Amino acid sequence: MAKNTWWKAALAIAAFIALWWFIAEVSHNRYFPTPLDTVKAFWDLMISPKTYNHIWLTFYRTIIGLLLGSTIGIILGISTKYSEFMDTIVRVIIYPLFQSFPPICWALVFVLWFGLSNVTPILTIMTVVAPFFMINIWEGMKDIDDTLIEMASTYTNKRFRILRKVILPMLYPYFFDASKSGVMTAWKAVILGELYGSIAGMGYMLNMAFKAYHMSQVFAWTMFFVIILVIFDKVFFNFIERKFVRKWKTVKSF
Amino acid sequence: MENSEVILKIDDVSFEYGKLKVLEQISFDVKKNETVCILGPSGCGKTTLLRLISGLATTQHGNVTVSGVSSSQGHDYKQHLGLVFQEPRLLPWRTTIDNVLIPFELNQDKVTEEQKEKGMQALKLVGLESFAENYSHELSGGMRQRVALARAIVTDPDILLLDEPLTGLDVHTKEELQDEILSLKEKTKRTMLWVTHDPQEAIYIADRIIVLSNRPTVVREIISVNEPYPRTRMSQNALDLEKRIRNLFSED
Repeated sequence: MAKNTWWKAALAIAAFIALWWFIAEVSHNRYFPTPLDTVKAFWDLMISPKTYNHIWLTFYRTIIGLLLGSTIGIILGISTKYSEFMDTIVRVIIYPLFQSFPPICWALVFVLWFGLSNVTPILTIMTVVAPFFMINIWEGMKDIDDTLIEMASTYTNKRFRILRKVILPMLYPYFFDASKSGVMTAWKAVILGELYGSIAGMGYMLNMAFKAYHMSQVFAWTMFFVIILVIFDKVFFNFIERKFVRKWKTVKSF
Repeated sequence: MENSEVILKIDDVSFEYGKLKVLEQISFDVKKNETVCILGPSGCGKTTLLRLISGLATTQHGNVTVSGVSSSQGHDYKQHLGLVFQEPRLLPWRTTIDNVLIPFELNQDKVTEEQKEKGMQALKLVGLESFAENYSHELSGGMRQRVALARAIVTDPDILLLDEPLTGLDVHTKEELQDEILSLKEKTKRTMLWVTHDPQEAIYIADRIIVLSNRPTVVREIISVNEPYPRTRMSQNALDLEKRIRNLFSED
C-alpha cells in the first residue's frame, strides 16, 4: 500500500515538472525559468553561506512572532471562560476584525509605524497568528468537561493545580490544532512582513530577486520556503501527532 | 456497632436553592466500618446532600464533620474523603495507574515511590493491575468504574462516598461490582456511605438504610438490616424489607 502511494506521488511530481518544463520551453519567456534554471539558482543559493543568515533571521522572527501571537491568543481565549465581558469583546470585536484584516495591510501599517526593522515582520506574524490560537482555545474552553474539574475539586482546593493537571491537558489538542495552522500562516506572514518591512531575511531576498528581474532566483527562494514548510508539517507535526494521538484522540470527542 | 467511633456526622443540615427547600433538618451518622445507604426517590435531594458531604457545596445550615473535621475547613476536610461518582470521570489522556494517582498529584509536586506502590495496590484490589498502562477508552464501562473506585481509595480515606456508582451498568456487571465492593470493604475495613435509588441494592449492601422522603427532603426512617454477609438477594427477609421500603415511598 505504502509502496503504491510512493509511486503515485513520484509520478505526480514528475508530471508536474514535465508540464512546467514544457510551458517554460514553449513560452520562451525569460521570466519563466525552466526547472533546470531554478535548480541551478537554488544550488547557487545553497552553497552561499549568506543564504543561511537570511533563513536563520526569518526563522528567528517567525519564532518570536509565534510566541507573542500564541501567548496573546491563549490568554484571550482562556479569559472568555472567566469573563462574560471578555467573551463579548472577543466574539464581537477582536475575532472578526483580526480574522478579516488582510495580513498585507498589517504589514503596510507596521512598516509605516516601525520602519524597516525586526519589529515589522514580528508584529505582522503576531497579529496574524493570534486569532488562530484565540479561536481554538476559545472552542476548547467551551468543550471543557466540567465534571472532570468537579472530580478534581473533591481532592483539593488548590485551583492552580487543577488548572495544570486537569484543565490545561484538556486544551492541548486545541493548542496543537492552533499551532499547526499558526505555524503555516506565520511562515507565510513573515515573508510579507519582510518583503515590505525589512532589509534582510527570506522575504527581503525574494524582493531583491524580484526587483533585479532574477526570476530563477525568485523561484529558488520559493523552493526554500516550500521545503521548510513541508519539513515542518510532515516531520515535526506528524511526529507529535503520532506520539500523542493515543492520548488525545478521546479528549476532543468528549 | 453500638460503641463504635463515629466517622461521619450530619447534624441538622438544611439547604435551599433560592426559595426552594431541598433538604430539611437532616441528621444521621455513619460509624467506623459501617456501610450506610442513602435511599430516596429520584430528585429528592440525595445528590445535593452528597455534594454537601463531599465539600463540593457549602452548608447553609447545620454541620457536617468527618473524623471530627468540619466540612467548612475545605481543603483539610477533603483529605478525609474518597468519592465515586455516577460516571467514572477518568482523565482520558492518562493511563489507568496515572488516573489512580491523580489525588496525590493534585496535592503535591511529586508522587513518591510509596504512593505509586499504593496506586498499584489499589488497582490490584479492583482486579485491574494488568491494565495499569491502558487508557480509559481501552476499558469497558465496568472496568472504568473500578478504576474510579481505586482512585477513591488510594489515599486511604476515612470514608468512601459513592453516588449511585452502578447506575448505567448492565445488571450482571452491577451485581458483580456490588459483590466486589463488599469484599473490598471487608478486606480494607472501609466505612462507606452509598447513595442509591434502588431498594434492592440498598438491602443487599447496607448495614443501615436511611430512607429519605420527597421534597423538602427529611429523614423518613432509618432501617437496620440485620443480616450477616454474604447475603442472598431474594431471601424472605430481603423481600419483606423491600416491601416495607416501597410502602414508605408510596406514602409520599
